[in-house]
Amino acid sequence: MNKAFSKPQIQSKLGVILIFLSQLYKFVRAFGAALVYFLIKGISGEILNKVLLGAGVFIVLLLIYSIVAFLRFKFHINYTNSEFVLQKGVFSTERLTIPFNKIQQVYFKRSLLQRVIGVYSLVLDTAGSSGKEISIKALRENDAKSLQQVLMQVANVDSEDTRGNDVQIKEFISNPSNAWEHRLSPLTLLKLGLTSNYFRGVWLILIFVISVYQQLSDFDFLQNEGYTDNVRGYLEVYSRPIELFALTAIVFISIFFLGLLISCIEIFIKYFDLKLQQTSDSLDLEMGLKTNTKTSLKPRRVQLLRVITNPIQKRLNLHEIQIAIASSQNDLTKTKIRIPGLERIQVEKVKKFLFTYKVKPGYIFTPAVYLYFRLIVLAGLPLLLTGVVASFIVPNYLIEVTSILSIIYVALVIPYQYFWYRALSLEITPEFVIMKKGVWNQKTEIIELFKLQAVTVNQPIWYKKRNLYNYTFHTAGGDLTFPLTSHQVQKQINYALFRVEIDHQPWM
Amino acid sequence: MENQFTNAPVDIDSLPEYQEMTYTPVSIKRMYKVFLVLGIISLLMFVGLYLLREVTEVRGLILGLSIVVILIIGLLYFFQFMFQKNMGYALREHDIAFKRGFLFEKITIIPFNRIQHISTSESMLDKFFKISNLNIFTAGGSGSDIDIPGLSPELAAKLKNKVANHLSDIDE
Repeated sequence: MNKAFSKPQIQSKLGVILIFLSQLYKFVRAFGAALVYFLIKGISGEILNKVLLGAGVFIVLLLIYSIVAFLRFKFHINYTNSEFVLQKGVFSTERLTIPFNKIQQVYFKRSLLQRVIGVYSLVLDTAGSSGKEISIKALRENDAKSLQQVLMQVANVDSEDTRGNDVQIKEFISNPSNAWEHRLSPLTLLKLGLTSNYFRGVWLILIFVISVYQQLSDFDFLQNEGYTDNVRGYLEVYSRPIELFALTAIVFISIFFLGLLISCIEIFIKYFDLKLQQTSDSLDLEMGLKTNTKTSLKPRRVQLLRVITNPIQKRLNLHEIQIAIASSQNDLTKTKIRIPGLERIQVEKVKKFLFTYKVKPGYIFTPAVYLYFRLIVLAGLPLLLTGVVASFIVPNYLIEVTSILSIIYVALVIPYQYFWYRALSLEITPEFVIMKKGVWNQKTEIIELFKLQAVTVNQPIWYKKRNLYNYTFHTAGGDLTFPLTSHQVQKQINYALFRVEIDHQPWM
Repeated sequence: MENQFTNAPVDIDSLPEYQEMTYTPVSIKRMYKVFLVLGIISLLMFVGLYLLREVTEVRGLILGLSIVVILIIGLLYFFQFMFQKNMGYALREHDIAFKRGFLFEKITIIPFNRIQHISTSESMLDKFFKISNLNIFTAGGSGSDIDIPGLSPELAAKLKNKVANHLSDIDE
């Protein structure tokens, strides 16, 4: 093998521009408010000169800083120690080394700026408790590609040397003839936009109404002391039912559509031109308008898989897959890979490719009915709090309104919590833990048993008599917690531990 | 390779049960250590109350506060006593379990082949009481890592070696 990248080298020369511009952008963002202030206010010539001079000196300094940072940013591969080495720092020197076997993923990332300049970011995702991701921000396409190839190769060769099983698994699951490709069409994107961030619209209404109300009330309080009289008058003027109803309806509907529009745009930017491709040993994902990311997923890295859909999307045959890969953070959202707009068949294909085993039926558990009571009590707490607060500040003539709102809340919460409770289920099959939850957004979370890291069983003292436990399954991609379920699960816990302990496959 | 693979059905009822494990309690010195810390805190609080007595003129304030402080500290002592009673670890051939908690009893079980690394640590107070913590790290994040406090340094080292040996066994 040729020893590519074995000598310390710097990034593409265009990197200077990238560093300079991104630093400049940071400062502009930090002092943006001041800048805008000056522009609007206008300043006298004398001060303007000084400001311009200052800005000029600052830009020259920033340029020097960028050049130094660029020249001191060096990376190479140390083949003798099996590690990737990165040096950087302007005033201090930081030296990072990543052993090959800690490299999780190597992928490209491009921001809009990088696309304009014509460079690529290469990101190295690492595992372990020091888990940081490292990115080399300015590489030419060729360099980036060859470095990615070399790194993936060494990372792989290393793990295959120590773990012979890997080859077998690969042969078992991936047949070249199985290779397939999936693209998201603009139409699907539109469908997604109209259906997926459904609650975002509602959320927007809430925030909007609250902030408007707050501003109005502040204003009124300052303007005149007869605030309550004002409100009463206002209510009287608009209290003809039809008018009030129409007004509210119009406001709600328009804000709802605004919310839909915003989520549509968001989805277009995020998932534009999504391409999912299965190769012989990995799943390649490419997407994004603003930041174009390319990710290559190996089955081994997958720790937790989640399939999400809602009733409307189900009808349209749209499912979203979220994949958590090994990470040091507990936070699932950061290392989660989202693939929206998949059809049922494609979901099955992805599962088939990513999982070593087939899903077979197993034991299904549901939480005890006490969970429903607990959920009701929890939902009742805000109501109680509102009641107490309202009894102090809400004027008498609004009591009817408050109590009607409370009744609506209760009427919504009791069935909602019931359906939520009913939707919750845990299935333990010979090779998987499968948890289902959610009323509107129906989530199915799947863990391969042999990828479990640990199990926690937790019992509050007041459930001792009823023999109920909370169960938590820990994986390197996040935890799965199932509440208040019978002691019967313990047998399955014993099985899960047994399954992990007899296992010799690499789990990461 | 495929010939080596067997897949006999597993009789779930015959599997070893984690519920049946007997837990070894941790050293009582851990409780003494926590009691000492609590003692220092309560001493400081009473000094504070004494100083407050000089400046305040509200009747009954000091008495009321004292009762509240005594109640809280008494409760803390009781909780720590129960913690101590409930805390324990258990080693099996293939995994380690750690039990703790009084109001919320929690048992975490980590198979040896999922341990990332293992270490021992002592704080200043631990050194004074001659006890040691065993820290076991997994890739599952803070939720599945365990810290077993109140072990004698020799025992902690022994456990560490034992678990580490298991780790190297598995790698071979």
